[in-house]
Amino acid sequence: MYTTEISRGNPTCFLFLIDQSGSMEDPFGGESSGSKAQAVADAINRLLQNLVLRCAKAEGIRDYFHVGVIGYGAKVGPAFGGDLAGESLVPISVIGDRPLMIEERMQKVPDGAGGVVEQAVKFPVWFEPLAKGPTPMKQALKKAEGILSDWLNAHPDCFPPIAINISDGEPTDGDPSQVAETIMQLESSDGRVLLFNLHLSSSKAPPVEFPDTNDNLPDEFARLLYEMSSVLPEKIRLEAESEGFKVSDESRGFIFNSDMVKVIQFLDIGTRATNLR
Amino acid sequence: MKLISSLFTIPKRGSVPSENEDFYFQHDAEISRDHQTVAIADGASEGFLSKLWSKILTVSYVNFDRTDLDIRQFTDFCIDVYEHQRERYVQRRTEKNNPLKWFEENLMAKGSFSTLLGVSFSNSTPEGGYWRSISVGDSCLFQIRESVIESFPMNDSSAFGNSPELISSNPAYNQDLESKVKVKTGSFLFGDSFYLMTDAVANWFITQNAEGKRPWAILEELLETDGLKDYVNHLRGEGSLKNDDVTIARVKLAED
Repeated sequence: MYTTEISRGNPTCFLFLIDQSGSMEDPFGGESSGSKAQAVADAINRLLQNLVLRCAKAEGIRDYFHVGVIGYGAKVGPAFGGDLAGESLVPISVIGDRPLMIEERMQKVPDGAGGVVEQAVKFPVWFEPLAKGPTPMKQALKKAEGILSDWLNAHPDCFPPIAINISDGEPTDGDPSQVAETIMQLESSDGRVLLFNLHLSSSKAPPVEFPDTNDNLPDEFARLLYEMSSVLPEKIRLEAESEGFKVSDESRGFIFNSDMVKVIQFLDIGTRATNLR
Repeated sequence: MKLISSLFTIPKRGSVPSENEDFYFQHDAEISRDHQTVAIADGASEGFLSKLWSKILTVSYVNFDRTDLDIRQFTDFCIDVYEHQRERYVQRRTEKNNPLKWFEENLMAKGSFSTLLGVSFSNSTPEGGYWRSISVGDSCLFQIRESVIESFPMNDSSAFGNSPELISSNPAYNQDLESKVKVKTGSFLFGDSFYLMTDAVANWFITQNAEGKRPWAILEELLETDGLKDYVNHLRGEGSLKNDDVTIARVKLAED
């Protein structure tokens, strides 16, 4: 299970569910600078960039992945902007070709002599922060279930799709557990869909990464998202381990209150597939 | 001394030949020299212009043709060549009204990456001579005389991973290059076979050899009968060969 090669002939899909409720305007991790919505938008844009770079060759971008972003807040639906507005799942080559805008940002890179230098790099933006309305997580998961079912019908032998839900964890439209369970039961011939959760709480509770129990989670929402998270398959578990996370065979794809560096690491590990062919 | 060689290369399943990022190079085999050099390189698949970089490394290695190669000096030379060609590539794209896209610029800023394995043979005795090989990464050299008498730099299947050592076209990633270089020397007799292989097939070769299955005999026969393509597809199908670019070069040295 979870061993199928991801190829242009047999791509997989990543689906991100982004909480865009009013509470996402609160500062990130109790810090004063920047809202959770802004931090998440940055993380998703960075991840989309990394996914494009992983698939880009001199002759163009290879469609190893199809990617979707569903926002949930004042409304529930596809959250890409610009040319991609309204699209549920988009081939990575189309994503690469059509960012909303391209900013120039300074990045620290090794200088070749043991130090670092700042270098200007292009920072494409596909997804802009939004924080308005309630938290209809159940409805968003229902939408995801439909998109993933359709994908699996068309790609029955793909590497199992990965869905990552990013939220501050207080659903306002009822208990989403049942829908989450249904998503985690969807499967290709290579295994079940993986659902991971990233909980950005407004509390100052200490971070928890890839837990294998809900014992140390501070509130019911954290425990709810933990229960809605898949156990990491071996390959992803080993990736997490090699990046210094403490993991066990029962570790779940869940992180709580981590800093932004860990959030980006989590997204990267969660979507890493070494079997690109 | 003459070089007698056979080359087989095939891209990973699902790719076309132009996407094959392995590269093997040698001088014209017909020309007799008392010193011969060949090289193989495997361009990293998650990189940009990897094929160009693996080609520059192998061609330069063969053209340097030195047994006392200074890896730092050599890499600096290759980076100069790469930069020149990269600039021409960018210029051509601009002239064709197809300037680099944001992702190409970002990847290009990072650079290209490749393994390299080169080997030089010197004819120093009536029966043969000595060889010296330099390697960065997991491309392999095997020397066969009745059985495998040298396996370099890998000799155990478990040593192959997903992150081999690589030479970069970006000096920032070559800081500890010297520590990545492995060197091996040996002697040869005319009639010995040397196989240079990229990692996937080298891993298969080492596994087969460890099981006592004489994989060089299989390759020897299939190289003669053009049967390697079908065999590689068969091995990929049964899962005993990772789906990766495959390059196999067999080199024999012969008296004039």
